[in-house]
Amino acid sequence: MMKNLSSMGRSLPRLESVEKAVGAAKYTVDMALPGMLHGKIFRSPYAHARILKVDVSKAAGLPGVRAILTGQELAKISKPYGPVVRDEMGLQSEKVRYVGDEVAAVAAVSEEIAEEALHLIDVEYEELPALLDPEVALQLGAPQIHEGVERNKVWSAHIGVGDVEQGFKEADRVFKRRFVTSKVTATPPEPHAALASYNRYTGELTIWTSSQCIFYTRLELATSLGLSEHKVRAVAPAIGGGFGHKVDGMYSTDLCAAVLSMRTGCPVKIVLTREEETMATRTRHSTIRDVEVGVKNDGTIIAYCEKTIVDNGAYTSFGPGVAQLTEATAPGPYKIPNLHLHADLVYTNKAPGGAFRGFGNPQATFARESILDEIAERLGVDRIQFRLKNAVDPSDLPYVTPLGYELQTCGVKDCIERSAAAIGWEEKSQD
Amino acid sequence: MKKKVTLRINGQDYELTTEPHRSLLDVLRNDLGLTGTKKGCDAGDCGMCTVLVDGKAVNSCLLLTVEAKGKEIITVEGLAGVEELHPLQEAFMQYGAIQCGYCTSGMLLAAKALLDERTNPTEEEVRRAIAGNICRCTGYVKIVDAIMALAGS
Repeated sequence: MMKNLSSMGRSLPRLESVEKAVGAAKYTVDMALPGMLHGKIFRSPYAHARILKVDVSKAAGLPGVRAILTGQELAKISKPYGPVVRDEMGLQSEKVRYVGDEVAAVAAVSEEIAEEALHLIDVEYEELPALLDPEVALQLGAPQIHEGVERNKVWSAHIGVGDVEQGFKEADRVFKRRFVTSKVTATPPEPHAALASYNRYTGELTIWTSSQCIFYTRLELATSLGLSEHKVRAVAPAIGGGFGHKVDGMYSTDLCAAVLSMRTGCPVKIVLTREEETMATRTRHSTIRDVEVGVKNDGTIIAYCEKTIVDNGAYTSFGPGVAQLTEATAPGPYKIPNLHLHADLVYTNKAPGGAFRGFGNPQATFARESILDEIAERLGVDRIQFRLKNAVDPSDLPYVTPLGYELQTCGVKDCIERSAAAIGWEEKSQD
Repeated sequence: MKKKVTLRINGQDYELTTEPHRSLLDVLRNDLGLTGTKKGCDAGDCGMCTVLVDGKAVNSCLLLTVEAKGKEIITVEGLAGVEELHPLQEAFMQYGAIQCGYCTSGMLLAAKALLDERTNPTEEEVRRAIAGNICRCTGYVKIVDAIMALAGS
């Protein structure tokens, strides 16, 4: 049966390869429509501040400027949004919460004029104390970044299995270490970009946008603007990378382009610069992890306790999922009977964390594998043998993980052994 | 104060008028509709705007349009023949060297500049030739494999 299949088991060029190889693939940034205007976003220079006054009159008077949208105006026609916690607005009207937070949007006949108009917008701010350290943000009495969110803790994740206190009592040795993982951006080659075109005669909105989740784009635009979904057509053309940073579906870029198009009756394109992409789009969540591991002298890991602070940034995006997954993946492929894993998701005045390939797993794995190396060294055992001793073995299958997932296959030991052999571990570890 | 410029791109002459501060990248993409060349950083760091100028790989975001007059410019749109693709394009497709495609035009032109200069480069020389081109998707291995497949041919 297998030998007659035309695609399976064959190495075939990807369908879009030709267009990309000849430079014909069209990304949102490459697109243009007749009468198109160029949009730019005015951003906060402060990490935390109240917006007192927004004056766009000088900017509006610049020849070539066709529309300026403020946070106040947007608040009248759109609803807060977010994948889990609806704590985002396309433009802020009361408060800015990180350097780069969106305050106003301009549509003009050229990119240069739109850029110039930004310099003519006058905003009066009242600076507030900026919380850049999540541990400080979590303290009692810390200023609230979002009203009503006490200690800036927006979410918690907890996993408990067995009895970790008993586990530590039975352990021969207990090891403790704090790990800090950093805030990283995936830097997709193509920046966030949206081209929106609203037809005021039919009430239909069309948007081309560099989105990884185009159905979210349509849903969020419709919901936020109070449009019927069937009146919103969202198109994902060729996309120059995302890695998770374009998964929310709708960003300020999309919402502002859409509303500016509605205002002007013209298509509006907004493309972020690399600086904006780095400063004001999603990142991988940075974490602070206090890990405690209990082991027997023979190398068996019997207790694993982790208390993590996940740095949410200024808005929540996929933070809850990351907080959950960063603990669910903390024990890794090891059979540890007693677990106490806790994560608090805490707002800070920094760019929002969001989905970025790994989604909490890389942070957990870094901490765990680092402390396992240290433990092996202190116990005087080989680092590879230590892992093989504790890892899920094919004979354990089906194996139920702490979250209740049933592993039906597990090649981790095979991976470890083959990787070790490939790098000449035996000879090198003799030194 | 706009200036009149004639650019020779992919063997064709383009007459245009532009402000002297505009980069070749912006003129290619916005004035001439040649969107195959990409803007990744606009600061000369990523190489996605690579074009060939008199055979040399150059970041077009760092070249003023007015500086490019009188030169032979090649963009990705000028690689394929009428009937067939350039061997580098075929190799990139065959070796799976294209994922999101955003770095592809820059990589192809950097590779072409190298192979036009030395027909049988070592792997080290290939890696050095694309050192100014960032890829966020592939991890570079298949790009190097694709270019090496043409070394010595």
